[in-house]
Amino acid sequence: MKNSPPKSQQLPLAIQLTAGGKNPRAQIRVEEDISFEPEFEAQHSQPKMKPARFSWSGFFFSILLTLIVFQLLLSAEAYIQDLFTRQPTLGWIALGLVIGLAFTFLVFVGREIRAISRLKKLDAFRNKTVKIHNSGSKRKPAIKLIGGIVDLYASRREMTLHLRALKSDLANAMDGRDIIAITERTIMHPLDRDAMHAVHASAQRGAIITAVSPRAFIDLAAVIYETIRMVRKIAHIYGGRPGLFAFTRLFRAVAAQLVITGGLAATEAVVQQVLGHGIAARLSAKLGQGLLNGIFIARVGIAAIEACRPMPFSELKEPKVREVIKALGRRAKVGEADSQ
Amino acid sequence: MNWKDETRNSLLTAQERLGELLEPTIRIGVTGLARSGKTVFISAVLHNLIHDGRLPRMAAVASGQIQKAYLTPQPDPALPRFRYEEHIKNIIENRTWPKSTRRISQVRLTIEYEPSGYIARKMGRNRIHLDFVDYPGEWLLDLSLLETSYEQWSIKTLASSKAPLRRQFASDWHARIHHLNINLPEDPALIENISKAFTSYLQKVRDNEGNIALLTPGRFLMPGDLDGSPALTFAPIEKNPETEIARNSIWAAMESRFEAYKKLIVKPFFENHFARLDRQIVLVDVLNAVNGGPTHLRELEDTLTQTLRAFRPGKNHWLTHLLSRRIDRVLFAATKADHLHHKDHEYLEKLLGSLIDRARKRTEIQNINTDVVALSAIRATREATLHYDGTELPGLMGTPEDNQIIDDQLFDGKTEFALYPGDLSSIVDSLQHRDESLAEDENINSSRVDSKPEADINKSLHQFVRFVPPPQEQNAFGDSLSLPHIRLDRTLEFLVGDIFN
Repeated sequence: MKNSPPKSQQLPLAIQLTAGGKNPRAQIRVEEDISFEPEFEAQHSQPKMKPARFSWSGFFFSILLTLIVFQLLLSAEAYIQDLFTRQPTLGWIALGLVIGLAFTFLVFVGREIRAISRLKKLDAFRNKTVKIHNSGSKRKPAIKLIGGIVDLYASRREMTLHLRALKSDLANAMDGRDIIAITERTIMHPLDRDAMHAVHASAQRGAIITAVSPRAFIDLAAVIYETIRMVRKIAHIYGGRPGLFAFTRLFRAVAAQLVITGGLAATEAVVQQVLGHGIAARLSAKLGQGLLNGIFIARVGIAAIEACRPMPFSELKEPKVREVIKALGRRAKVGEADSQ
Repeated sequence: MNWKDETRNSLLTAQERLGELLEPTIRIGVTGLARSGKTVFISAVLHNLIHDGRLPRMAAVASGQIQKAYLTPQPDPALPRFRYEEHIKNIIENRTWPKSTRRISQVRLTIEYEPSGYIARKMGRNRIHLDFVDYPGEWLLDLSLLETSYEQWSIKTLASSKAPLRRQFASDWHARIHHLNINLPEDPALIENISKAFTSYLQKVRDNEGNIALLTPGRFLMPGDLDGSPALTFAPIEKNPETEIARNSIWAAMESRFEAYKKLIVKPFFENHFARLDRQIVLVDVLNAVNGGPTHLRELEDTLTQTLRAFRPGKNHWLTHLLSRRIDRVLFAATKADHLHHKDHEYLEKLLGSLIDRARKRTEIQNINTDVVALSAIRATREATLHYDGTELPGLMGTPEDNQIIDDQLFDGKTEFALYPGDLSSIVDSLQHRDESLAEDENINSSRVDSKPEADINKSLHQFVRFVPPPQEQNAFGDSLSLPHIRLDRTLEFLVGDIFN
């Protein structure tokens, strides 16, 4: 052993653990590694925001915005001044209202920022999961990551049982990859089920409304409404809770996801639809249209799941648009049989 | 080997295949040297499967596919039953490990599950049998004798008995055979005396070096029923290559007894058990060898080489025909991974992996896939951080077995300790330099074992101690939990995961 110097020169040690706590070697403190404690780990899990890069257009819009805000403040000031000179009581009321307006605006902005950071957190979790999964075994970072993910759902009552099972299973898991796989199976699975349920329900509603609606613009409105509702619900299930601006951001992510997976899925889905449920579609053009809209909603829904899920699909199978189409097709056939 | 045996074997295989269509049987070979943890492994697997244990990485368990698992009567009426209940009771209630296995035994676990295949579901096939066989690890090494003649074996055994570490134990036996005229007429009493001296040499070496030593014949250390019979009474003796062998001489008698040993003991074991396995896991107690130093690691490498030969004998060898159930994947498990902090597990796997790679190169066996896992069938320790002198050491908490020393601390087998057993990564690094420094290491090692082994243990940079079984855990509702483990689920997934698909 003397050719290569050992990394650690520490000789083996032994410290007796007596019930009374009398430790003959007081300079050594023993601390048991807690296998898994979400409350304890959660505080490390805040992802850091990346500093925004400088851009000329951003600079331009910042100046413009500042000027507009100046203008607004000025006119508000003038307006209140004006009210004060005319009638002091009115002036006070207007001042109070403006302050209230500013306050609610701040609250609104704050909530939006929080909503966006929540979505970013989901992204960060997903990236980190991939990183730990690829880098191979290490227990500590994986447990830290899982602690953060679990923290998203710790307050949900329906998750209590799953979280408890996870805690028991992770106690003896040693490798990062195993820890991630166990977590996906234990807590992502029930969430996936809920999310897919939302996708199925929205796709079905979209399809039915399209099939029965007398006007095209009603279809359109229904599809848009259903899509938005579904994406919000999915984000909610995975812990996103988007607000207005966060929602546009999420929608961008969903659209990007659709672009990545969309091309292939679209052809596959449409071919499947034409071949598999062609009879239904040929029987009724309206019904076919409904199916197409349902398929569209389902595709958006699955893209939303992939954009919101804090872990990528690896241990569990990704949901397929085909499954939703199958369910829709069954519905369509049943509906047809009823109508005849 | 003749055509009769072959026919019989293929008939047996064919018969089994027919039965398998309805209720498949998977024979799992749990192979390993003595004290590598075969009995504990089988007990832990059974316990976890029967009690719906914590096996999240075994897909069939995690997905709820397995509905029920229970012990059923074993298929072979001639074999003793594996004493599962007794072993588990010892581990859980008395917190002692099972005693070393003295004879072969068998157990069958039946699993009821929900098949995922369409045809299987339609056929109502939902039961599967797992057969485990437990046997003394000493027997495994005997398989290497099948390819060896008495003369080859004598030369090899004599050479290894002259190694500096072993010479002292062999003095009696060496004295008895030193000027022996091998053409003396056969004398049973003389043979018995030589054999006794040889057996006591084997025992002493085993006591000194532990169980990784490549000592054959294995039955001399675990005799069983045949104790004292001529098949178990022989020894290597010296022979000048030019000497003509007379009929009925001592040499001829020894040779025929050696052949009888192969025929009566080794071959039946190979044919009835070893050659008919579907899956193989080889348990290796690497840490024990690490504790012993470089010589022991080299010994372990030799042993692994012999083990690999048993799986894949040469192309033209008669054993090849017997291995009609081809094992193409073998999992090597470095057992007792709980004696290490999990940070060292990857080094443990690397260490075993490099040993196996060397063994594979030596046997030139390439068409067999091997995989390595750091496993603890029953986890006896918890992990802790030791804050010491401003540094943090990855430590373990548990109750070490008695008569072991770390850091001037003698364990009594009852008190719980937190300990830092040392750093395995340095050993793995040093192993890579091993070839260059082989001779030097040998000198260091032999001198230190000869002089003061006690003092050396205290100075050594690593000392991996054994622990008593863990106390039973309970969940929040007060129910007892199944035995804890490390990577037992992944091991099972590798071994039998595919049959549930």
